[in-house]
Amino acid sequence: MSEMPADEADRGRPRGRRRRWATATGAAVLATVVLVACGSIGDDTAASGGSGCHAGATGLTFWGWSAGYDLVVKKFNQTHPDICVRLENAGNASDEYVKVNDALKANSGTPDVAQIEYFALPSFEITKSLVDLAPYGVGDARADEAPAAWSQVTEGSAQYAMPVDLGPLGLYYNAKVFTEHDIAVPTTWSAFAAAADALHAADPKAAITNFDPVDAQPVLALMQQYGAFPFTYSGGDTLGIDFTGPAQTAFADLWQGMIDKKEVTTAADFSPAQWANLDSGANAARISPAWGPVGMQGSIKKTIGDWRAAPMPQTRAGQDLEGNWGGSTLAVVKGTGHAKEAATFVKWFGGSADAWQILSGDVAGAFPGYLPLLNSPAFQSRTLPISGTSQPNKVFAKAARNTRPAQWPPIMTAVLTQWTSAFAGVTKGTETLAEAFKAFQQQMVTYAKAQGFTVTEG
Amino acid sequence: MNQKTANLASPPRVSGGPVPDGPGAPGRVAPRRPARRRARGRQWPGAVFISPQMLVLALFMLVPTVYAVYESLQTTRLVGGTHYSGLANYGTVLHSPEFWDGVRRVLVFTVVQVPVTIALAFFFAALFDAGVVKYARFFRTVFFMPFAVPGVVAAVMWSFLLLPDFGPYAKLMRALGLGHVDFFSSKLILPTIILIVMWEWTGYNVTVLYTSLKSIPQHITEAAVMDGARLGTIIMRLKLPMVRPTIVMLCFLNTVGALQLFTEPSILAAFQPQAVSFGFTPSLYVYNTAVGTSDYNLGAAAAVVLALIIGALSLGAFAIRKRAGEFR
Repeated sequence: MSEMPADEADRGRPRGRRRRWATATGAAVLATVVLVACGSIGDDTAASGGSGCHAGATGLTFWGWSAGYDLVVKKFNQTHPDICVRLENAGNASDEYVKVNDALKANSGTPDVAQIEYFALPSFEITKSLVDLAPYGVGDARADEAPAAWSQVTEGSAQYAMPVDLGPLGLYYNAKVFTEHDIAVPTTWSAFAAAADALHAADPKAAITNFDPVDAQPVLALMQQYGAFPFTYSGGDTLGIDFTGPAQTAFADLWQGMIDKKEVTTAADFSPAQWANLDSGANAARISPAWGPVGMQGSIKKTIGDWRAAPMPQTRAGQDLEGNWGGSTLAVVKGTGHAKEAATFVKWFGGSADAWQILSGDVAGAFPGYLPLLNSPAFQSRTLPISGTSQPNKVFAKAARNTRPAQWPPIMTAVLTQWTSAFAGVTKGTETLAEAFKAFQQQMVTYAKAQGFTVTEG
Repeated sequence: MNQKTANLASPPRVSGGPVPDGPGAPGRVAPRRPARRRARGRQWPGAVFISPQMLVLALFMLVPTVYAVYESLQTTRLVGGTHYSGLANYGTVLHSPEFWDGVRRVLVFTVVQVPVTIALAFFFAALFDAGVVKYARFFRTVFFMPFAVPGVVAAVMWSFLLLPDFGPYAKLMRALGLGHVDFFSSKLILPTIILIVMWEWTGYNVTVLYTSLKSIPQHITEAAVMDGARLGTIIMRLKLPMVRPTIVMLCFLNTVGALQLFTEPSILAAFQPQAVSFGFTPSLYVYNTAVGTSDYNLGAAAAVVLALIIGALSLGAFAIRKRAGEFR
């Protein structure tokens, strides 16, 4: 901001020019120094740089945010003397993607390796921002990865990332509440709706679970599990969008019915309200990703030990459809000068016993897509205080093995950004889920066409 | 730009001194050509002094502005890359109901928040100045405190305080028999943000007005008292006109800040995503377009449109004040 001109600025200046010259120059230099100093202080990247590095190693920059990644990186540096990975936290999920996009746009400051969730990979692939890892032999890791994880990082013969963890859904229910009201654990969605009726009839204050319409990821995971995933995409510039087909409408009607009858709450996911409902019995179950129980354990008090995992209800009895919420991959970002070393790092990070020993530990708590661990009895028989003596990993591991890959569209950034306001009315009760789907369908088709895609509807 | 930093960067001088101008107001005019060659050197120290600021202004204001205009004339698509598209992005912005929705909302916000804040601020400043408050110094500090809290922190704090089910204010409303009050519902979200912003800014305005009131010579007030004027009369008929330039300036500053409303709603959105839409305010529309959907070109066009709107309002206000003879 500049100041208004003061016309008299030049008037009445005293003599003694040389000295004032020196003062003025000195002041200007000082001001500049101060400015430069201030500029260099605000370096806000939390670099836990090069821990455990050996001298003369090739340096790699790695952007990631998940807990415990620093410990895994340290282990890598110790066991790989010629590579030195520096982990920087550039923000969580979307915040990081924005920074990666900005750096790509600016052609400078991109990391060598970035943590990217499955749903965001196609968005980076279509802008040709990721390095194909196939020539670097990362494909050898295939046999050790859950099929759902593997097929989401590959496109044709190209491989754009190394899968790390998964988030298969399970029905995580409060056994005490279910027993108290004599409700059997539902195996189909129609049985689930009946159980919701029965529970609400027995206790008008109770709702069987929570459904947060404005949280895109769990809703999409549930749609996937219902066989109503709204996107079809397999690379290139043709994209299928379908929020209004028969399966999607059935899905919308199922949940809207329960919302209307107050049998399902619509609190924000991970909000104090949701935890309170789960802990008071106001919510008898949670549609939980595999990584959910660990976090839930820290957010509830009274019902620790009462929670059990069951397979997700199915659309038709005997089916085995699964949904996945969350999970990350490591990708090598275009512009790196060390693709070979980066490939070595990501392959080890997602597909080695050393890395998974730390990743599945108490700090990181990641749910493996890495089969040797996923299938091991030691992992499957783990217990958690929140689940008493039961073994939730058995249920989640089975779901992980049977999950089919979701075909994430390359427009997920726009989907997530516009989702919140598009579905706000469902939370408020001013519109139905089916109506919101219909409006969102229009929005997404318009956006995709404007981005140059050939869009198929239905 | 954040309202608070903008004002802190160049603290307003009270009573008609030089005033920081908003975007779009005319900058420093070129110095008059020297009459004699020898005099040329005499302008240098001044130029040296302002050079750091000019450098920063060029780096962080002019260059980005030029770049934004350049970006706004292009279109980048996921399929097919970037091409020159002329004024197409401007057409999109001007036809976007979300953008105008935000503009309307921010105008309503400004029309309510600025006058109410300044009226409140003058009321308290006059009370402190009249010396009718005990422990005035302590209360002045208390009033100023919210301004010392960064806007982000304030917004986070209020997000918790106003929680619909567990917040103390929701409980208070229930206790008062007002039933279930959701401060973040579509009806109440704007009043809620107005209250938060008023809480943050009233103290600042009180401080400026108080200083301004203090600068009114004592003998004028004394003369009024001798003539038998009451306190109310002195405040409304004598002091209010004398601090008019300050009030006009505060209106101007608060308005420019209010039109750029961003911090509070963007923080609230993190807590109450359903309450704050994509284009809740024009600044949020710019941010969500550029950052949220990675459409830098459309975001740049929206930013230019917004700058033009605010610039035009600033120039208008500036012209009115100039005619009122403020810059003599």
